[in-house]
Amino acid sequence: MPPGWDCPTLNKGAKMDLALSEEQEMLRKMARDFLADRCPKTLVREMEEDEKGYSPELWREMAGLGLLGLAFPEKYGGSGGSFLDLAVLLEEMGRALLPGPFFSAVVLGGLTILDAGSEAQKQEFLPQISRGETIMALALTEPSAGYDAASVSLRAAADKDDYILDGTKLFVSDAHICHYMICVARTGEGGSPEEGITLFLVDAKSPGISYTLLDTIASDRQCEVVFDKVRVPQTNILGGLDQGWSVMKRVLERAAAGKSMEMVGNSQQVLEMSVNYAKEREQFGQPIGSFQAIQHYFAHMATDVDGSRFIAYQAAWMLSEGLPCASEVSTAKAWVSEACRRVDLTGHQIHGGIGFTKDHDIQLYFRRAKAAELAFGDARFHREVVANQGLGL
Amino acid sequence: MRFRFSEEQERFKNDVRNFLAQEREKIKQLPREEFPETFYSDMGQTGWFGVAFPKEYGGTGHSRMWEGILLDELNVGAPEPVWTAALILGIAAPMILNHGSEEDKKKWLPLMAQGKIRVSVGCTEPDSGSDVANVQTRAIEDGDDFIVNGTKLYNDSYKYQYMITSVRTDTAGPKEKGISILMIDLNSPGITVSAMSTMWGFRRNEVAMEDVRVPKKNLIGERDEGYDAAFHTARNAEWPHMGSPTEIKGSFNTILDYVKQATHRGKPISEIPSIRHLLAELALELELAELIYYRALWLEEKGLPSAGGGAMTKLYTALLHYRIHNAMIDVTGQFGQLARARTGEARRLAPMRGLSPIMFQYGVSQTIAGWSADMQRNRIAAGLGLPDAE
Repeated sequence: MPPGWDCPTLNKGAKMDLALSEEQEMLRKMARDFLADRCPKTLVREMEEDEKGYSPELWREMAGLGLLGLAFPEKYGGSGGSFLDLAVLLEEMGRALLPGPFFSAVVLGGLTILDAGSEAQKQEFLPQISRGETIMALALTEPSAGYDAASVSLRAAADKDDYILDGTKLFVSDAHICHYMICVARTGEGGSPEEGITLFLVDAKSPGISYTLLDTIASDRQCEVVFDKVRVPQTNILGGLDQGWSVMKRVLERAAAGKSMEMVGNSQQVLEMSVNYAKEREQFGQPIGSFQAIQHYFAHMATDVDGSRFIAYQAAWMLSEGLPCASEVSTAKAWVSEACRRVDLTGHQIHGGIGFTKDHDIQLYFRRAKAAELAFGDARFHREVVANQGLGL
Repeated sequence: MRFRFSEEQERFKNDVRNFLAQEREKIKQLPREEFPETFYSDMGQTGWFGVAFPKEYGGTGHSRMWEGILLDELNVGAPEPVWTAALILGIAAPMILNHGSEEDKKKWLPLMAQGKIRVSVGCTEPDSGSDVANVQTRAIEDGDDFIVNGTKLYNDSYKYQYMITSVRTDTAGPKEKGISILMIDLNSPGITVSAMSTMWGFRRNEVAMEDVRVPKKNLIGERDEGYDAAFHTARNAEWPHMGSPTEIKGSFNTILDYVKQATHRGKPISEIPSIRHLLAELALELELAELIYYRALWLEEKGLPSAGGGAMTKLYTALLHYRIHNAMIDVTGQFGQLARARTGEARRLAPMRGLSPIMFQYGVSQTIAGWSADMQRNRIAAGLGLPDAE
């Protein structure tokens, strides 16, 4: 890029700098080395069968390294990092296929409380999340499987100083191990669907809550959660009565951007694995990486990975800067979802038969990519957002 | 020009369909993991394993087109993974038919036609995938036998009686020379058949052979002249049953039925333009896949040349296989990631009987198994008369 080039979509007048800061590079290296050592593929495979789906020992180590509180202010027990810093960490977690509730607890839980919680709620929950003592989950999607306000029909009816929650939530990651759930509920009718939505902090042990673990393609821990007349004190409202949807919009943007970063790490690792394989695997007396068809596959993969990286980091940066970025986030999620699938599929093609056995690691990436593609809106959903909000159609 | 089967072929198609429906009912009575032996003996009695063998070798003397019709029906109606029956038809038998001596054909083909022996195909080795000539499994003469050492991967040898396989009988010359084809009794001492677990859950096998004694009379064709058989096998590997689009047609119909009744926030998803267009494109490609498949069979029946022979149908259907099964998840959104739970509340949530995760993973394999997509592209290019790269 020529020095001083102004990009009209970014902060006008600011110079473009596509490098991470020195601290972010150190964070990346630390996270990569830590996860390569403490989250080997044997653990990933073990956790696909484990009911909890995560290692409490690894969780404590991550807390000890400050990874759980990375993006919380220091006064709440965090390290004072930005969403962009968190994005660097999420990329490494995607690369390592980290199993467990990090995304739920930190991105969906902690950052939502940081965004919309009262001072008392922040003081109560954020330090606990940073220390790894409290795992949170987000209960949003319902059997209608939408990510918009109109899809929320779980009711919260006022009853003296409490609310009674009644309904079903689906695809709730880590519900079965969480201590608290943020439940997105409907508290008002009339007007537009976005009005009358409230977020509740629900104690996961409340009477009336039941969980069913779902069997998913990525063998991750998603649940159906039934709320059967669950009583929640009104002091557990997060962000104000009927004010929940404006909070949820930001939650979903962070979630889509964060999930895109995981996919960047996934596709980068698949590219590297495939290059290494193509250098070593010989057929017809030469490495398969010397064949033009394979080299062209790699050209496509590298373009997809690089494109994903920068489109995802742009979204993360804009969120970090507090810039309006609904269209950029959706562009990232739509593009990265499909690019990651293409890269992983091409990785399979390059690996041939060996990649198709469960013993090989590449299928772990392929299945995880599919789950990430579907989470927080698939490409079709986000293309609608780009059309509406980005292009004004 | 006529785009219909003959009356006789239509009757055959119906007979096969009815037979398979009966067999599926029978197999439902078996315990879940039990190998369906009776399917093989029942099908043996129909003579259909030999549908494309000449009558003098125990077959019914029909053409490859009839084999294609049979494989079409097996693809959707067989009570277990289709390749177990189809490989016998599509690869093992042609290897003997095209490369065996008269004695070989008379000895082995009737037994295969009657379903009395199941013959798996040992092609792939750890260092021999696309490079079919790179056979490392070694066979050294010892009196009236060969002593065989080596490993074969990704085959169906579990509960099979024989494996037809390529071995190296001479290391002196270029690697294409010195390959022989042997019928190996899988009950021989020194053979270990173990499961390879795959992404899509069906068992494939590793066959490890340590000092296995194989009679010389189990040689198929001439010693050291087996490369053509091996190469021919790879070139023709599985193109009839992997080119046959009936399995993916079945998946497409499952998607269509789902889309017709599913709603999203009270509105039918069939009204969403991007979903309508997706299904329209897939339907168009399925139509093409069927025509390309039958054209490949017809050309072979007539002995006419074509660009790449079965390569085009194998490649086209394989690519479409993946796209259709990706669409299966696409149209269901997040629900598409759900496999059907064995028990409990979660069982009811997965759409399309919870098939989409496993079929999606299966779809990935289709451009790899049976000689990869790029090898098929090489064949098509060669069929167009394009010169080989230096």
